Amino acid sequence: MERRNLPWDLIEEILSRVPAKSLARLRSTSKQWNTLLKSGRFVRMHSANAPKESLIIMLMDEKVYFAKANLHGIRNKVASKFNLIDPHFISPQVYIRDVFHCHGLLLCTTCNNRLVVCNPCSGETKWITLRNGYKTFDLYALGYDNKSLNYKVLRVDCQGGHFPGMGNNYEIEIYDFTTDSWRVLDVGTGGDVYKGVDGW
Amino acid sequence: MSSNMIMLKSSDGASFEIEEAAARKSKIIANMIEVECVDEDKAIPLQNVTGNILALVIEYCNKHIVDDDDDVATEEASEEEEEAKKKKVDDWEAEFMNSMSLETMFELLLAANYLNIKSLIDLVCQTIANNIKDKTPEEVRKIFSIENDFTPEEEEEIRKENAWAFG
Repeated sequence: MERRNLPWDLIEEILSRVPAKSLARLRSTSKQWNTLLKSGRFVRMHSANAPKESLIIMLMDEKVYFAKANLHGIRNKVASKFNLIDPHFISPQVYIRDVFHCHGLLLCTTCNNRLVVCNPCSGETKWITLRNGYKTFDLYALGYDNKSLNYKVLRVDCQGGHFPGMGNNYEIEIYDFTTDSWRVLDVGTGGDVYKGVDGW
Repeated sequence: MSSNMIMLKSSDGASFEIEEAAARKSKIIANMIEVECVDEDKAIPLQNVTGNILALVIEYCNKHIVDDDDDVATEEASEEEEEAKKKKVDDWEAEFMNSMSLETMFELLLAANYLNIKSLIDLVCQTIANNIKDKTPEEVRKIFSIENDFTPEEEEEIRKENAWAFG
């Protein structure tokens, strides 16, 4: 029997059920597939349809690794190394200080004091310019704003390493990807921080 | 439960008798029944589905109509019973898809899409997805008759961006 060609919407349905790591590999199938797999619409379709799988993000020797663990067996697969390339520096490898994640996106702080968000599946990266430069004790988080349907980055400047809510001075700001800008949040001390964060 | 039987006719002229309740798994057929354009003595012609594929569709619908009835009868079933039942359906579906060639899967998917049977579309798409997940872009191009429109340089560039996924 000759295999018939499927209409595009059925190909989308199939691909939205393929695990993310395989999709990253299949980007080079054709230009049309590459465009589809990188589109926001497809990403939402994939997160609704694909079987849920867990991936462990590890930070070892200032590099990010992905690992798969099957708790029902002993055969755990470690790991693929994720290489990040910084366009502003000649060094082929970026060293990562810390990594955060949300919906498969990674927010990394690098050892050369820069901030980057990357999508390991599409290979896209977005370097974020900081308003006041990076401080060693800054805390970061990446989140999704259901109201504006947009990802945002939270930065807490702890000024000396104390955690918020402990009565020290700190500054909180939020980065918005659509406007490519930081907004300083006017919050009090203590628990108010978290109220402010809820409302981002 | 209605035990009305209706007739379906494939594009190559084969006729199949099916319980109305099972045929209603197809939104298209359910619509036809709603607007009463189904003549009891006449078979519904399905122009886009061949007999061998329609037989598979009917096998699927018959199996799932039984399961839906079970759901109604055991509304207060315990969690374990629910799980056991789900496993039974999963096992049946795995067996159903197991020996199918990719060619047949494509035909079945097109038929499910034409007849608008959501759960069958889901099942076939997931099975094809599992089938291609470990294949190379080259193999996948063959399966979907896709032409590689990247230059070798562009292809290399994308591979580099996603080197982690090739490990």
